[in-house]
Amino acid sequence: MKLDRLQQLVIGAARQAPPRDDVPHGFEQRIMARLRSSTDPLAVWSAWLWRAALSACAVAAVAWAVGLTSVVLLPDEDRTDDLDTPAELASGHLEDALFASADSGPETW
Amino acid sequence: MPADLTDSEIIAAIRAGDSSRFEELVRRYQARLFATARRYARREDEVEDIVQEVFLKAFAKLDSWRGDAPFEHWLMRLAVRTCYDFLRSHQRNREHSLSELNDQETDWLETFVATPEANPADKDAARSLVNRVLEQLSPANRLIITLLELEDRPVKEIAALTGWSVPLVKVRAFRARAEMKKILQRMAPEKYL
Repeated sequence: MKLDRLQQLVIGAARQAPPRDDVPHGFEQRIMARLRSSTDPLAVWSAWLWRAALSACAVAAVAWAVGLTSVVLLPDEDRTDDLDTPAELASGHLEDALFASADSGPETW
Repeated sequence: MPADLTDSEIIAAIRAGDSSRFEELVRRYQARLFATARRYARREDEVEDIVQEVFLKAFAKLDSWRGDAPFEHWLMRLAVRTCYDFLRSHQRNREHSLSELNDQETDWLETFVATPEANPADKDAARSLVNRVLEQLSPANRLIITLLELEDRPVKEIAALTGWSVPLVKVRAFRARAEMKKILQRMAPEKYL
């Protein structure tokens, strides 16, 4: 069958053209660096520390942004003009929010 | 470090805590592994990922090498299994559009196979043409055709490399040849049908 001939041709071509065996420059050093980073406990620990530090920075940035927008979005009547800085303003409102439930509750004594 | 240390001596040193000696093993076998990986992956970044994975696995599992077979065989087993995993994980990316082989290409193939000394450009062209056919095969069939037909390995050795039983290798080889024929039937020009 002629199809067998074509199959032989494809296989013959593959045998005559084996894949190249060249290696990228410095490949063995790359492997050793990967091994060192995966087996060195200090490297693992520092990688975790970096991750934790980045997460903490992200949370701090989000908290700062939320604090800033809540101050900007306050209606005029809620603004306390005696407070100078946005931080003081924000802490004043945090206080109000915290004690709101206590203030509105019935007197128990 | 003396350059003529055997694999067993290097591995003994690594087991004793000198992991830097692993670099010597990488240097010894990287070319072989690159050639193996290039049979299954086309893109160079994929080839590098496969070889890197093989060496990282080899380092992690070095304690499981008992020394009763050459280290090279053990490493090749890891390589073949990693390549098979690669084929399976990239199964969805296989090219399903069959580009037919035209008369010009098959005539060229006849000349290429008949001429023992081909130039490098011809070899590249032959590789890409062969890849077009092999990429249509399922992962198991591609692995079998590669090991059996392209690398000319005996069934027993393929069984050891893949972890399949000898009868399973034979069954899969039969199926692989049938699938390849079916693919060629769809790709072949009129004169081969």
